[in-house]
Amino acid sequence: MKFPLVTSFFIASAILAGSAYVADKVALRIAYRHHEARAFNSLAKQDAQELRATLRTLFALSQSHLVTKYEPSTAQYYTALEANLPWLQKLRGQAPERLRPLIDLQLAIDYAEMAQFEQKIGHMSEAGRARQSAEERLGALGWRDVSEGALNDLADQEIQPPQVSEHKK
Amino acid sequence: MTRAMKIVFFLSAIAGIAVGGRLGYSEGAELSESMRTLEPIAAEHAVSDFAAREFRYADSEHARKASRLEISVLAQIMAATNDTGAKGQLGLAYIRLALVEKDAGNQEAERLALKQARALSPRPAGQELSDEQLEDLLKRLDRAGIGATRSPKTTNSADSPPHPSLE
Repeated sequence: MKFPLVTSFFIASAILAGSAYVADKVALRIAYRHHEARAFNSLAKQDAQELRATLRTLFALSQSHLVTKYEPSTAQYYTALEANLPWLQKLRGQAPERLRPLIDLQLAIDYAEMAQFEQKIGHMSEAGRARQSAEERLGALGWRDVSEGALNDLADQEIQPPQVSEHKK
Repeated sequence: MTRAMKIVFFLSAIAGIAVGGRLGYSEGAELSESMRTLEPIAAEHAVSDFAAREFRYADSEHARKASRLEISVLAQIMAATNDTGAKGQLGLAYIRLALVEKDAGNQEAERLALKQARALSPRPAGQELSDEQLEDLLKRLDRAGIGATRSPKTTNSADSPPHPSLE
């Protein structure tokens, strides 16, 4: 009789913990969406929707910038960049039309950085392709100088922080 | 499995759902509140950074588009949140637009943008900033990485092609 009691206690505890975990995740998601949907209710419905979409997109864009900017090592930085490019492409597909140039600029910056990395490790054709992607995007954004030197300068601005953190280490 | 055990398991599941649901709901509400604070700040920075970069590196037409986008987003945020930070940023955005218009030779548009900037920019009591002072303010902030949120390059910024207005 003792064994089933102990076993039942553990099973009941597992059920309690498991259901609490699942309920927590589900309720968190529901509560977040519910509160988000009510945000900016002082605005007209369409304006509130537009603002929510704008804020969501720009916040995601800022996050993507932080993800690549503060990677501690060159290898991790490269991996983060590689993962960030398709993610930005996806964000661009979902973003409001007027915000796409901002994402294009971030894509161009990431491609410029990627080109510099590829060049440093001797992958010249990959470097060329990445540089061309950056040039096309910057050209569409009206940049006057999209030369290799200008792209390297642009990449240097972004690559600096990890170098500083490595130096500190 | 006895009937008593089934009841205990069922009650455990109900208790778990109740506790987890309550905790999750309050976490979700807090997270949403936090995001409502963070998102406008991130958005202001992202859009101002874009406008600053376009102003610095792009042609007048694209710089103007970026400045107008910055103004539109900041005005939306300001209207929805009454954020005084957004108001200051909006003032700077109008100064940037004025500089773009100045470069393009549109004096009337420049004057109108500066008028808007003056109405939005905080100033010491009784002191009216001149057009040149307003423009100089933005240039200084951009150089310090405040008007544009990302720090400008510190190593070889002299090599990069600056916007004519920044010369």
